[in-house]
Amino acid sequence: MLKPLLKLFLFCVSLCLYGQCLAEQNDVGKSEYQLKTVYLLHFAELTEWPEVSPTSICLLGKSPLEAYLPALQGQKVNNMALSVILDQQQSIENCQILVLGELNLLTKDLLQQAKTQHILLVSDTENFAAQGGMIQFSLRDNKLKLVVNLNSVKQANLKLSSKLLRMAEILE
Amino acid sequence: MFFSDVCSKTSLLILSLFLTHQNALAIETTQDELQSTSELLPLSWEELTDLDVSSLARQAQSVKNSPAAAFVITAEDIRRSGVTSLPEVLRMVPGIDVAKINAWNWAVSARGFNDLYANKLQVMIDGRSIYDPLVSGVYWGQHNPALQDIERIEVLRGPSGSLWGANAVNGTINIVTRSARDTQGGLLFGGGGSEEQGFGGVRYGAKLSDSTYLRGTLNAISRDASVDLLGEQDTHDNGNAESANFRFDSQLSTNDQLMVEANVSRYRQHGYFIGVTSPEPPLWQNNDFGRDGITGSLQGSWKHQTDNGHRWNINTSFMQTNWLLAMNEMSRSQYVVDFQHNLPPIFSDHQLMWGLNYQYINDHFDNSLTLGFEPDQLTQHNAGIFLQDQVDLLENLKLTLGNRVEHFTFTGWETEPNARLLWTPDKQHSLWAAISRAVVLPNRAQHGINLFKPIPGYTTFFDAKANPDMKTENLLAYELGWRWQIANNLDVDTALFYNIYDRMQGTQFTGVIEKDPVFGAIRQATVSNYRRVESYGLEMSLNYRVSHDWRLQTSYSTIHFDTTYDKNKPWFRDELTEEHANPQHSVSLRSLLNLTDEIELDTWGRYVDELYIDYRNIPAYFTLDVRLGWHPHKDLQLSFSAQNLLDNHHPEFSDDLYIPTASQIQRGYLAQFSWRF
Repeated sequence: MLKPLLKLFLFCVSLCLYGQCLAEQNDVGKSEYQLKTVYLLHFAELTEWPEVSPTSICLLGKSPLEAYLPALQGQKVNNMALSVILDQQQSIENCQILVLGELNLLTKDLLQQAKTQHILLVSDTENFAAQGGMIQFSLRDNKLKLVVNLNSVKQANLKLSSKLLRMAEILE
Repeated sequence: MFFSDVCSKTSLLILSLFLTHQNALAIETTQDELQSTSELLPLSWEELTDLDVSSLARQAQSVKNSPAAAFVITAEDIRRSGVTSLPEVLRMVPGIDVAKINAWNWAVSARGFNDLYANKLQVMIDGRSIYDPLVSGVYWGQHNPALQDIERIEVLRGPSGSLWGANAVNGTINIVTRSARDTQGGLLFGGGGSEEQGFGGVRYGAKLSDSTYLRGTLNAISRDASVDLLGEQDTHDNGNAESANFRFDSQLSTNDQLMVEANVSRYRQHGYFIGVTSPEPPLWQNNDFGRDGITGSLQGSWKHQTDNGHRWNINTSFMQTNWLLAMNEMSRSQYVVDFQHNLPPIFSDHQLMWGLNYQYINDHFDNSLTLGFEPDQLTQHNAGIFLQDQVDLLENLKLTLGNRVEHFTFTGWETEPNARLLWTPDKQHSLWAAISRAVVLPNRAQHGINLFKPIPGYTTFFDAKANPDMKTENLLAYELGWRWQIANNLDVDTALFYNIYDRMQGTQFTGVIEKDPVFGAIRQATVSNYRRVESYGLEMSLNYRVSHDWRLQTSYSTIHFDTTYDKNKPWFRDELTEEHANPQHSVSLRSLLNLTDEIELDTWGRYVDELYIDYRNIPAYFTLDVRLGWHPHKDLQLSFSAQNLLDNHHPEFSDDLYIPTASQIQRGYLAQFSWRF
């Protein structure tokens, strides 16, 4: 009679424990995305666009960053409020920084659009910089490293600060 | 039937409760994630790029959630300070007194009691104590690590004897060096100037396998002599030091981490003693009173984590210290082993940890008539056990109870309990209170010194006798603290303390021999637990990140003393030394400003109140350091700094007994470079 209850209880306990275990594992992942979010704020400060305008950071594709980016909403960059656009349907024309969640979103069309509309392309997917992306996050030895494709950046008429480039591995 | 019905209903209820609980948790986590991300937004680019992904959560929490007066100096703080030695870096910490005596000697202490041999501060490098059991202090001139290898310095003011053992009485400093994993590739650094004549070093780190790293650092330093009190004569305290350091880090498995570190350093520091020369053997010259030494250490730490949440940590180290003076020579071996076990949470709200430690010290002295330590060979065995429990009384109220019991060769059994309460009513405020007991061990010198020397300028000799019955100095400390996060980029940290020190050391004249046939008059003095001292004070620090390119940090400390002693006794040295040798007020104000993306302008102003030491007034001083940094190339960094700009020279401290030729600290100019390859 008590067996089903006991079983359920055990199930609950194991679920709880499993949940706790997941939470602990996620701590590392969590701080990784927190860091990437804060880096994006600095990118907004350390990039020079041909025209001065308020910065919008947009996210395209699926990425855990979605949960963290709202922390940047309203932050001041050059005395102008920064906005975060998570809506996938919105056109990317109004984005100054575009974060790609998946590598297959980096199409020729998108690259062309980034060039003409001066959009800084950022992603944490592998080979992103080598395939024409601009700034790639790469996790090495427990630290966030940046890989920058300087040609792509220059073609989009963007200028990255020497401060940013000091910390980056540069592909030319 | 009835029962099974109840059962299934109950189980459904439990399940639904469980699910809603999980949901509520998920929402709260997102809020927390945004909040903790927001807290990182004010960090400067340099601070951000220095962060380690896995230790971020742990580090950010450690200071904010500790029920103690804590302060962390980061690698960026060290680099932008422009200084080249450990004690100088510590000047930015509230409640820490740092006074330079001459080129190689420093008086450094926490919450008063400053002295050349300040005995209430525990100092560790990667968990290995560099506290010297001969004098219960740190010979700062013997430790000259490359500051580039330091990741951070954690400073705890107040007693933490239950965690760090006897002598962690007024403060604990843990210098954490960078992991070999974080120092890959090469670094060449160096510089020179008017006071820091020349220094330089090279570091190289290599990856041995996917999870194993090794690095080595060699560095050398040479310092100019200071000037005397008139500002005219050189005080012959110049010298040089070299050291080599190797660190090996390996992640043996997902649950095991190994670190091995080896260090060798050698130094030669000149000293001067006017009035002591001998035309016959030992043929002493004025210039012979320096110190020549070599220290070596090998240490290892193994961290193991089990799948069910136990954490074990074993630390062990071997240290060999040798030095040579004109009147004595020491050779000492120390072996230490520490074990610590953190248990997984018990009853969900208790976090238990316990540990064992053992220390073996064996020293040997080659004594002379002038300076001896009796017996000339001694072995000490010290061992202890500690237990600490952290209980969540309420969701925002934590109680920590801890105790350590130790047995020492000199004093037998000692106990160092403490109780701490941390209350975090909301995200902006945290308040803590603590009561602790701590002990200062009598040191080898107090137990066995035999100092016999002429008093300069008199035909009298001074004879300091040891006291083998010397007991511990006992502290009972009451502390209160308040951390206020006014905004993400602005916080204020305040600590108040009231300390009662029982059985404080003091030195009295105990006899006079008026007509010794060889030496004339001899005055004898002995150290003992003669006094009782109470101290109370306040420490504040304010951290304001105006923007990503401008940071302000200021700290203020004040301290007062009440001393109880027998006024009728003939005191040798000042019986009110605490009141006189510690500044009542001190202030530090730093500004770290990026003028452009390549140029940094950093200024550091300090005020230190007047002192009265060895019957001489040391005036209050204002001083200013300015540093100009330039990154002309991706991998090259240049800087120019001017130190102690506001006067040509000023004295900061004095110790007539051990350093009879008093020095003043001069204005200094320094150029530095650092190149990554």
